[in-house]
This record gives sequence, structure tokens and C-alpha cells, in this order.
Amino acid sequence: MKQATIVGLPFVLLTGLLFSSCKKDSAEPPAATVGTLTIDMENVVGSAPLVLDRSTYTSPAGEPFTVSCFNYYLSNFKLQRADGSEYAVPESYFLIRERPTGPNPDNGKHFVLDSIPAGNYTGISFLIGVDEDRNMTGAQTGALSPDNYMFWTWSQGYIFLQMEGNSSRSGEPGTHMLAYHVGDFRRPNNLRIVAPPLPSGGNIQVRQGHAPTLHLRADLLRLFAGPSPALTNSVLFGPFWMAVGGSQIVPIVNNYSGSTDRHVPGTNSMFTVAAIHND
Amino acid sequence: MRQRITNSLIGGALLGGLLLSSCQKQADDAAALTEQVPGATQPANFPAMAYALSQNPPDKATFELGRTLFYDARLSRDSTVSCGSCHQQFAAFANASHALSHGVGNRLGTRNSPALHNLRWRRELMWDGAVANLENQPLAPFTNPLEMGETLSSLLAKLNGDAEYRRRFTAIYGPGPIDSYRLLRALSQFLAALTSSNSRYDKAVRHEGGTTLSASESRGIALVASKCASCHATDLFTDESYRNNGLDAAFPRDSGRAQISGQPADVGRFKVPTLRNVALTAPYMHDGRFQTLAQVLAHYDHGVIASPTLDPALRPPGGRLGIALTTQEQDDLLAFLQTLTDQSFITDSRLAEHP
Ligand code: HEC
Ligand code: HEC
Repeated sequence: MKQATIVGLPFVLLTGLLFSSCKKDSAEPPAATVGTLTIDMENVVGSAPLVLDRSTYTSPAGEPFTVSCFNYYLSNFKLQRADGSEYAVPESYFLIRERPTGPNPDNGKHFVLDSIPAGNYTGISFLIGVDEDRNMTGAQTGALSPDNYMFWTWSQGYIFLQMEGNSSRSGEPGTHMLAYHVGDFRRPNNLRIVAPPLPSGGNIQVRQGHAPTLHLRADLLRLFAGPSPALTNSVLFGPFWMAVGGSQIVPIVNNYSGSTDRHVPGTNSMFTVAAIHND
Repeated sequence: MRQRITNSLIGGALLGGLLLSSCQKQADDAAALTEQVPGATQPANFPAMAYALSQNPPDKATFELGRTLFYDARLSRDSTVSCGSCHQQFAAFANASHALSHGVGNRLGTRNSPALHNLRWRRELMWDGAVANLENQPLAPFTNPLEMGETLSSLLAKLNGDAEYRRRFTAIYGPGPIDSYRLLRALSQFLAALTSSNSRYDKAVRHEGGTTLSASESRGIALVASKCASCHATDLFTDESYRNNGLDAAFPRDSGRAQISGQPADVGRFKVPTLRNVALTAPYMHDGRFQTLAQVLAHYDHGVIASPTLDPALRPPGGRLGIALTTQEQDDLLAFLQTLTDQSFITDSRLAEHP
């Protein structure tokens, strides 16, 4: 650019044009045909709001507990159309933290999926965690930065979900702590896709100039109980007060996702669509 | 991209010059770069890079910043240990004569520090492949209590509190605080520059400067090709796989690759290490159990121990375990392994703590 100013104005204009042709590889759709979808997250414990440290909850097995930390990644958002086609939102990685630590103060509970082709969408799905590829990519920024302390640095990979707290019934005699950290993308593969159904008859109307919002609720109790009595891996805090990755954590993963398979979306998971506001 | 622009728009030499400088600066500077940043070219006898130059284009200032970081003990909790403490240039960046390395507070690690060379060609790092990308590798020693014992936030606070680091990072990455992204990108430029490709063996296979190998050394090459290359393959002398080469009957303390993959079939499997610079990197194996290369060869000849995951290459059908090697063959292999020492690499002042 410095050279251009020396040569003269026509060249400035010309190089400006060239610069833009250098950067854009593919033509983006005209602005009128894309819109956004805002996601508003709410963490709950059964029917109560999640309040860290101060509220005592009761697990499905009847054991009291408090929560001191609840963080999770949602990624790879997809929106389905009535005709069965879908739109995959590129680069959709979000970190939701009930209480953020580290340099980034954002709790991630309010985020926007943008440049979505306008249209009516009848379904939504996403991954709980960070896909295999991104676990093996180089240095990352933003939600994926290791500065967020959601990355295991030794046996490397992202922590997909983490919950910590306390319970008088915890098998840990000193601090009575609870700690469940989910990760691992090889074997076991603890990634899960979930597809919470939209409220009946509802759809998401993405339009230029409108700002639809989807209210997504995450129920922490689902770590300790599956989608149905038959599919529940009961968690008792005495024997099972801690698990950090690996196969030990799989019962919790299956509980909260309502799926035992990386590739089969859970439709009855910890996530429910509480409301859609098409504004 | 350059193709498209030159085809449609070339109007004059002046215009062409502008285009090149705006779009293709990196490529045009590549030649000049190799003089400034070591290891920025593809040696003719190496396979394709896993960490391509384009992923983090080498640049002198960034490489030098990476070097400063590599040798800076302030990056550890008590400012006693740098990357360079466990990875020493004269030992091809292994930890000379330490079976296990000492970290902060003089605590002993659990594995032998590997040599650091030709990391651009590695798809996975560590003895068990715990790290799948070079850029994130430093996070492991930074935060390991047995190595540098630091937390990321405290480490970044130290760097941001240092005016000289702030100046150097800003000059490269622009305004804004030093975050883990900038730190890792800079450090990996130094790690990626550790290319060792100028041993006597390399010069001989590339027919450079009339270098020839002795009869014994040449017999050694043939022996490696016939007896070792099912694992120590290509001119990097590793197929990057994980194998059990018969060190123990069971692996209760360190199960190797199984720790990462979760598969019982991987118990006792460790990364096949390169043989380059191996004469400099004693002691040997993931736990540093062998002091000399002669002991390593004795192991393959008559020390291999059976276990469920022992590699098939080391249990020939009907035969005894291991790779039978006559005294002459062992001498030839030892002679050959010496030719893999790259003097220019371990004496390259650009890679040294005090260049
Ligand atoms: C206390 C000693 C120690 C320190 C300090 C240390 N390392 Fe290491 N390094 C090791 C050991 C031991 C291993 C092998 C660990 C394993 O395989 O589990 C290793 C492995 C590596 C590897 C992988 C090599 C391979 O062949 O897979 C790289 C790259 C590396 N270290 C770079 C660094 C960098 C960069 C730093 C500074 C940020 C550093 N090390 C600090 C001991 C150390
Ligand atoms: C079945 C695969 C296999 C074969 C065949 C094999 N190796 Fe190895 N080699 C390995 C593995 C795996 C290691 C590392 C084992 C460990 O540390 O647990 C290793 C380690 C070594 C080391 C130590 C390197 C270091 O940096 O610590 C040397 C030297 C070596 N091998 C030489 C040879 C030679 C010479 C031959 C042929 C006579 C040979 N190997 C055959 C798999 C093999």
C-alpha cells in the first residue's frame, strides 16, 4: 500500500480493487437473502434456575448437591428445512460458562449465528463439545483459546463439558466435592450431537431485517438421569463423585445427550427449545 | 489466485510488480527467508511436511522471538527451567545423559526427553502421541507440574509485564495483549525451524560434495532397510506409528499409546523414534533405560521380551524373538548410525541460546 501512494491515485484505486479480489475466494450470497439467528441460553436444574454455590438441589437419586462450576461447548450448529435439506453454520463454536474465568469475561449465554440463508427452518442440531478436527488443529483464539481453561494440555484435547460442586453424600471424605469433566474424541468418543425438537408446529423464520431468537434451556439434572427410566445411568455421589474424561464419564455423556452414539443425534437431551421468537 | 490476476489484469511491468508485492509477498521472499530462518526449505530426500510452511510462514523476527521464549527460564513457575534446560542443542535438543528430566523444584519427570528435530514432519508428538499439533505442544510442558509447573494465566501475565516482550510481540502481531495464540505461534516458529537434514548420510544420498560412505556404513544402510525399516522407515527413519518393541512383559506404570487411544491393543506401544542424530541422544527408549547404542542392538538381538502386544516384526514365525544380528552386523549398524549425526545442526549458531 505504501508503494501505491507513491505511484499515484489511479494505482491506489486499482490496487484497492485487486486487494478485494485477492481476499474473496467465493461469492457470498447477496445480503438480502441471509439473516441471523440469536440463541439465548438458560441453565436450569430441573425446574429451578441454576444459582452457583448458594442453592442446594436434589439429584434424581435423592441426594443433595450444590454447583460451583458449569461450563460447556456447543458447536457445529445445523438448521434443517422441511424438505430434509440442512444448512451447516460454518465456524460455529461457542463456550457457555455459568461463571467465566480467565481473560474473557463473556459467559457465552447470548450468541448469534449469522449469514444463514433466509428461509423457514424446522429443526436445529449441534454438537456438545468440539469436533475431532479442532481438537487436533493448531493454536486457537476466541471460544477455543486454551486461555479459557477448557483444554487439557497434557493428553491434549478440549473439555466438552464440566460440572463441579459439593454434596454431603460425596465419596470424597475431605472436601465432599463433585467433579465431572467430559472430553475425549478418540476412544471413547464422548462427542454427541443433539437435536432438541422445536415446540410443536413451530419453525424458525430467518429473514433479512428480522432477528429471530431461540431460547435454549440446558438442564443440569440430566447429567444424573437419562431420557427415560430405562435409559438412565444412575449416578450416586458416594461411589461416583469424580470422573475426568475416559470411559468412566460415558454414563454421564449418555445421560445428558440421550444418545449412546457419536453419530446418532439425541432428541431427548439436556437441551430443550423453550421458545422461538420470530419477532 | 496469482494465476487469475496475472491472466486477466497484467497491463504493464509496473502493475505486475505491485500485484506481486501485495498478493505474493511471502512466496517472493521465500528465497531470502531461508538464509535468515533455518529449516524453511524441504530437503530433497524427506517426505512431505505435516506442518506446512504456509501454516505459519517463517519470518526472521518471529523465529527469533520463538528462540528467546525457548531459552527463557522465566516461563517456568520459579524461573529455573526453560525449554532449553531439557532440550539441549549439543544433544540434538534431547536431554544429555538424563534418563528422565528434571523440572521445577528439581522434580523428576516420567519419560526421557526426546530430541527435537524435524518436527515439521511429525503428525503427532510425544512418546504416546498425546499432542496432535506442534503449535499446542508447549502447553504441555508449561503446565506440567513436573516440568515448568506454570499456569497459563500467570505465564501470560509475566510476558505482558515485560516491556521488551510486549514490544516484540506487538511488532509482529500488532497491538493487543500477548495471548496464548501469539505465544504458541511464535514459539512454534522456532520449533519448526529445527530441521536436521545435513548429516553425512544425507549428503551421500543426495550426492552432495562428493560425500561417500565406507563399506561398513553402506552395509549398515542395507541392514536397516532389511531389518529395521518396517518401523524405522523413510529417510526420517520412522513410520510415525506406535509399536511395542519388546522392552517389558507388562506396562503397569506407563502403558504408552493406550493412555491416549483407550485401546487395550495399544498397551506397551510407543512412538517409533527417528534414528537421526541418535548417536547424540543417549540414553535410549521412552524411559531412557539403555545407555549405549550397542545395548540397544543387543536388545533387538537377544533382549526382546514377549507380551500380548509385541510387534509381529519381532516375533518371526517359528523363530526366536527379536532380530538376530551377528557381531559384524552390529558393528555395521553402529557405523551407519554414526553417519546420521548432523554436525551443522548442533553447531548452527542461529539455533543457539546465545547466537
Ligand atoms: C523438564 C524437562 C522438559 C522441559 C522443561 C520441556 N520439555 Fe519438552 N519434552 C520433555 C519430555 C520428557 C518429553 C517427552 C514427553 C512424552 O513423550 O510424554 C518432551 C517432549 C517434547 C516435544 C515432543 C517431541 C517428540 O518427539 O514427540 C516437544 C516438541 C517439546 N518437548 C518441546 C518443548 C518445549 C517447546 C518446551 C518449553 C516450552 C519444553 N519442551 C520443555 C521434557 C521437557
Ligand atoms: C517393530 C518395530 C521396530 C523395529 C523392527 C525396530 N525398531 Fe527400533 N524402536 C522401535 C520403537 C517402538 C522404539 C521406541 C520404544 C520405546 O521407547 O518404548 C524404538 C527405539 C529404537 C532406538 C532408540 C531411539 C531413541 O531415541 O531412544 C534405536 C536406536 C532403535 N530403535 C534402533 C533400531 C534398529 C537398529 C533396528 C533394526 C535392527 C530397529 N530399531 C528395529 C520400533 C522398532
